[in-house]
Amino acid sequence: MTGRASVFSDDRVIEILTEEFVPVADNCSYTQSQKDAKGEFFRLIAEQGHYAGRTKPTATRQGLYTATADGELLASINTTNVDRVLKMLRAAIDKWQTEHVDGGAVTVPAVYEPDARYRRAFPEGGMTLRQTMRDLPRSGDLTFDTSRHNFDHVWLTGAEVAALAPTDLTPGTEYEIPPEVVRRVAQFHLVDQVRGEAPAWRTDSIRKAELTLRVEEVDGAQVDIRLTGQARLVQPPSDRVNLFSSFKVDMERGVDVQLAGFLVYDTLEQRFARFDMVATGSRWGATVYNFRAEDLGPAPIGFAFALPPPTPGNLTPPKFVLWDYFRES
Amino acid sequence: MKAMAVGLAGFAVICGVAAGQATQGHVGARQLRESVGQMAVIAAVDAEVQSENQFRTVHRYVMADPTEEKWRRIPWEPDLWNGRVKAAEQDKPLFIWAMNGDPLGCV
Repeated sequence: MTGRASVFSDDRVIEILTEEFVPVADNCSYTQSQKDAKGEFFRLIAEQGHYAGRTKPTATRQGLYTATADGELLASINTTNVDRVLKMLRAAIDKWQTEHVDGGAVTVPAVYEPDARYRRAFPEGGMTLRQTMRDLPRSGDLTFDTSRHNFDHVWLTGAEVAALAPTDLTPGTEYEIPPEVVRRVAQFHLVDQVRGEAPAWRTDSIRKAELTLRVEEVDGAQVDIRLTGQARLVQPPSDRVNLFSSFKVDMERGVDVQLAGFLVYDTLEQRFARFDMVATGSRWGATVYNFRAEDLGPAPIGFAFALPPPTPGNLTPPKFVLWDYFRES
Repeated sequence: MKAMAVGLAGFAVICGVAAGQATQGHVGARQLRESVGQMAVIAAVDAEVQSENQFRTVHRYVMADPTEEKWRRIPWEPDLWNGRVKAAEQDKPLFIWAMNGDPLGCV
């Protein structure tokens, strides 16, 4: 997360990446293991980079790489220091300009057979929501820093989006959100990852999850819809211990939130023009990587959702899409 | 009691202004977070976000403000293979931001 605020918020880096490169953001924890053309291409580049020549294999290939489309490394580094990144980018451009003489000669097939274990394709006709999560201010300590935040994306199938559309436009009409959507939001998107990653909830951790829609007002093709709901998730500790460090892997954790939302459905275009939702309440407990050991709570947290602009970057998959994210409804 | 009610109403008015600024000038959310908005957010959450004004206050507080989203100005491609195809077509080098987790999402 540090890279977003440091390296990739620097005007010089933004300009160079926009003008001189095709910038890609990749989840290498999947790509480095994929047994397909994409995985091979990534490993080809990464093994020429800053992890090249290791005598002991390590599990990570994180970092910043520059390469040609045929897989020749130009330069790489793993840092959040802006000056070092700029130096690397300039070295890459120099190498590209002096050594890249067969420009345009590379032909890359547009499609390949992807490794089915890592298939993360956006559902046809579906909808994505951008999720932002953040600690909320604390009444007992108004100096508490709430600047840390994290993102995720919610994916809904075309059938689920259709099921969220109102059929009876009479103001006051209430209807339920499909249980599968409620489960997905609760299990995978009400997870405290404000400071770092945490596992999704187990299905049996969902103690309560309810979401209701109510038609508020109709103005031409626009239908104003109000969303209300609540969710409570509690997961007991697994009692697993890291045998090498004696570190206890987890403890009881939970969230208890109220949900509210304001939606606008366009009956002519048959799509949602607005899908703003928040879940607010409290969280408690910690996991190995979410940096809550010193802040066990209960403490206030907020999850916000909205339709994002239709850019390629907003088709980034949900974090838990390879879990049982989509089930047969 | 009256003073407290006036105070909360004042916060609501201030936050309404901040919310409008956020839509137009993209500065409201950060102002909300850094100054007057803290008490308004606490009040809205305590009231279980009943009104649309309370909703806007909390929603904007949680969502990232433009300063926090500056990194999105880069035209990121989230799929390495699509990026490779574009690089070949445009005769440009690739830049790959590789992380354990989705750099544009949850990481």
